[in-house]
Amino acid sequence: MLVKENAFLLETARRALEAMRVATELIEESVRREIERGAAGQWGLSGLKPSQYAHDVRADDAAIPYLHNFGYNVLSEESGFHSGPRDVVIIVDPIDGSTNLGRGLSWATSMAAYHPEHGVIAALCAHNIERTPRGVYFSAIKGEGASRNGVSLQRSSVTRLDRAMLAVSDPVRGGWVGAMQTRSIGAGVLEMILTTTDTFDAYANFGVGHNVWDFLGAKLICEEAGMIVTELDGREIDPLDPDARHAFAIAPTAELSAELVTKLRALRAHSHAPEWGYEDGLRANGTPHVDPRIGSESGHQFGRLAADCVDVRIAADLGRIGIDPSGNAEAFTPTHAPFVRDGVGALHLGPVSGELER
Amino acid sequence: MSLPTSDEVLVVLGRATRAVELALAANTDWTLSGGRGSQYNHDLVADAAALPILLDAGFGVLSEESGDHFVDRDIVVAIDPVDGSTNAGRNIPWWAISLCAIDADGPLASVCATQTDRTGNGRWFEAMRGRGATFQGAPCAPRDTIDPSRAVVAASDGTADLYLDVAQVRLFGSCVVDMCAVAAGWLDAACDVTKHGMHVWDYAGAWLICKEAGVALVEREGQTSNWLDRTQTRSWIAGATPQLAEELAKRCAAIVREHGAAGEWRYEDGRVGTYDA
Repeated sequence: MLVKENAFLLETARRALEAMRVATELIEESVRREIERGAAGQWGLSGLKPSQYAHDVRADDAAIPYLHNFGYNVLSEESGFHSGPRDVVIIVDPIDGSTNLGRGLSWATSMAAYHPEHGVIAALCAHNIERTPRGVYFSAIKGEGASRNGVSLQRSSVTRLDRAMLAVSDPVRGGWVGAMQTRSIGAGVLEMILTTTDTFDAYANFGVGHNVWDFLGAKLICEEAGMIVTELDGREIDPLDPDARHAFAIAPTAELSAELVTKLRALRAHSHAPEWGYEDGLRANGTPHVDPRIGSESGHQFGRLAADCVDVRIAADLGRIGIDPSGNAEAFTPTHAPFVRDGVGALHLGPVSGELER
Repeated sequence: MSLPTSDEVLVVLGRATRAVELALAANTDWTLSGGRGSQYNHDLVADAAALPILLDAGFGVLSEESGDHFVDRDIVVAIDPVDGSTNAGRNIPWWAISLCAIDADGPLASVCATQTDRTGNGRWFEAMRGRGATFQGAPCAPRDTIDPSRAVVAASDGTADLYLDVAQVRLFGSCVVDMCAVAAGWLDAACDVTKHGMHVWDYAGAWLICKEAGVALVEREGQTSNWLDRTQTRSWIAGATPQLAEELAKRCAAIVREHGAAGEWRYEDGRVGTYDA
């Protein structure tokens, strides 16, 4: 059922959109306050959990209590799930492009309102070019279309990949994608939603994809703007699964979508390189960065980071990136055990002895 | 007649840069010009705004858009009136105006004005040889990153595989923005991984900004250059530290050797983006 065919649901979506707008403004206010501190402003890693920045924490603290006190359930990248009495869950990435914001570059805020029976019913994403918030909001209600600050969006009409300005969330790897040009600005939400304007024609993800808080808002906005959004692995999306990752192709026309999806699936099938990471040396999938060219420095880094953040995903990813865990293995001490989930308590990791698969 | 001081040269470059900003703020046509492949109307508008100011000051000009003008003069300005023309045409917020005055000893002074929109209110980088570089009037402050796995790196478009194995990669689409971003500390490094390299108007302004800011500059293949040869191209790796720049230069050279021939970017008129100056 379309949201507009159900007056109660439409009102629910509109209320959620308004709540998300206020929450976004609270986040932007937290950024402005820090800017006003000048040289004393803190834009580095938070130290609270791997790859989390101080501004992620401030933004989360600014927005989540408001949404929660309003009765919404909240699923936040930064603080997890907060239970509330309403049906709707607001899924939040307070700062998408945290590394960028730390350096004064483009960033976004992403929020999506999920109804257990009707799916994602409303979304709001803020588009900022530099550190200072601009108050530019892309928004959508399911079945009601999408807009930028109330103005309808105009997607591209490009039908060929070699004529398309392609936004990518990760650098192209594994082969030549064949786009006219590619851009990557370091904030996946922006790379996706700007396909609904004359900035980018299409979007592609070459890595393992994004978490729900990264893409749910942008996905609804793109769909409501008439873009074709394709999950590249053909998997169902569970909006409440904080661990699932999904990669997308987004295109304005059926012809370009077919060409892009075919190309991406072929490239992804032959690409096994580890994905992008953070300034603390972690990869986006939670594993430490391992670079055989750096030698002992990498080994030291590996051990330290493993102690900070090991979980069962490391075991899986060790196999994927081709590390031999048997060589010079060292067992985790009991100190590390609480970090090892799902009963995998005898995980052995050691210095790199394999080559990255390319 | 004595040559102007670098301060006087910088004043002229600033006047020309501001004239370009004002001309572009008034511009209404951001499409391809129909002239030289990949040339936009805003390229021509910007060039026309800067050229008379530079020539009247007694400088020669080496322009991407309008060619050579009195390049036998003692000071010649290499100008890319709009670096990132496709970005400007699409409202992608990363493009720049770049001017670099070059004398017998190489780059003397430069102004690079990065733009995030079409309002003509850019962020200005300025540098004078031996006297440092500034961003918006304050000294540039590059980062101190050494480890590539922790580096956020800008790369040029145009190769088959941009797997640099760094923390994150940005593809902004403007050589000037990429390099200036390293000087400002926004990024840790900028890598030219194009097969053919860049022309002097693309890199000279940002090169001096980087050099005066203390950014390490390494040529990908160790080429040499006459600064005023419009046919010559060079490929620069700008790194926050020498260790980072040198490591990335090796990786970029490997990428180009392995993949450079496979991929070229294209322009909006469909032409392949091989340099044709």
